Amino acid sequence: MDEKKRRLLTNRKPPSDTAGEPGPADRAATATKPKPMSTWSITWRLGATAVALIILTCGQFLNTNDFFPLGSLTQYATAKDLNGTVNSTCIEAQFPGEDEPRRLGFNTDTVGIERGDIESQLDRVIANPELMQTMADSFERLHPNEPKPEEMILCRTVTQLENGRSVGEPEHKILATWEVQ
Amino acid sequence: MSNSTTAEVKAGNRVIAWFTPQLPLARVAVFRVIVYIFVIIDVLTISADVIPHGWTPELYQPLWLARFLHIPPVSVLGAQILLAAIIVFSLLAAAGILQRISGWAVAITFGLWMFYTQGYGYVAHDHMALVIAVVVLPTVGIARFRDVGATSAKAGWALRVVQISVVLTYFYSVVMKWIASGNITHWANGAVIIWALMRRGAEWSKPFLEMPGLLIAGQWATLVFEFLSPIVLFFKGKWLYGAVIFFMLFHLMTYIALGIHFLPTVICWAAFLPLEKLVPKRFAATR
Repeated sequence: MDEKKRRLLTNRKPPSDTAGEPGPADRAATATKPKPMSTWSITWRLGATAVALIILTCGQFLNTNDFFPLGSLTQYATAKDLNGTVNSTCIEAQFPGEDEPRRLGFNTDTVGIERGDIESQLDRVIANPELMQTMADSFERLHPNEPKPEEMILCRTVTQLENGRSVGEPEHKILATWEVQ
Repeated sequence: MSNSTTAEVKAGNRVIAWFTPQLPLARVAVFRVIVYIFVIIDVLTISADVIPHGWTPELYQPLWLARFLHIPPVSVLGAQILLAAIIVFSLLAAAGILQRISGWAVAITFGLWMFYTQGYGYVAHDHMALVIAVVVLPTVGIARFRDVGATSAKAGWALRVVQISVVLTYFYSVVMKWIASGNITHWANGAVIIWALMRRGAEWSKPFLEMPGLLIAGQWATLVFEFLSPIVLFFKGKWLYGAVIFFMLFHLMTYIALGIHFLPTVICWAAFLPLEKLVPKRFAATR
């Protein structure tokens, strides 16, 4: 801090003629004279910094991601109970001629969208299961050699914790289903 | 003028000087290469989901700024054109060609890309510092590798803003943990790492699920260093290098254990380092 200030002050004086002298510490001090910033230049920069900090701070307290890139930093922010459950959303597809639905990878390479994206709008997808049609379409497009799924199943595995350790087999819940068209 | 006002003016100047330090333009020139090359890697790997998003317009959940600007959901062709534009402009900007124009062009196209990667539900917070870096870099103006001796307050402000964004990524995540959990000890004594390992942990990390006490200690440690991260803004020399290395190791560990690399923030740590030292002497000397 003081070092920088000193440089700042010394640089305002006429440039010294020792430029080119070795030693990285002296480089800045022996630099050509920097142009001072205009008042406007300083004002808008400090103003923009302040506005951005205010928006970012509001983003946290309003708990919203909406102000991206200055949204809330929510990832892994929610406390999890050591005796609670660990939920993980899954996607399955029923293929013609198969006895049981098959678990698909929940990512852009398989169904065109990431698990996190669907989890972030889970209520909307459960209320509007027709949104799963787009995942079936993406699967078809990305896997031209595989049969077309008959039904898409949005599911959740629930693992019970006891003092932070999992107990029993994960429970499998169906959140929504959609007959593929 | 009374003594107190002089003191106030001095304090004000000190704040201004802190936000706009005189830093070598060459540092910006090197930082720019790192940022713009990384932008290309980012759009091709980490945020490559924009093209698949072109197939799922129904799932578009535009963010505030995207709604304000009436940005429609992306189409597949639109995403491909945008990708090409980002790569071309980033190459120009990294090479320092048409610096202002190429810089702003990246800011606009990459900004749009970010709305399309984040605008489909999940908003990742590892991109905050990178997006801000891309927006502030063009404000520096012309910066060349040979400007090792030439300092600029515009360069200083841009780098300072990136530094602040980096540390606030950690610091505000603690604030958010406090807000979201109501009581920060619930978060620290809870099962967040267990939850993360169960959902996306690597196979080798599964045995740690048998040691909840260790994982809780890890949560406390994370809270402490994330909370203290803003002091890095005031570090110098060995302390600064030490802090940067510490955060790199933290991200390496979360990457190996959970596949969370946080690279967009990681590369912005470069804004803390005297990057002009990377410029070979023969370039630095020609003025």
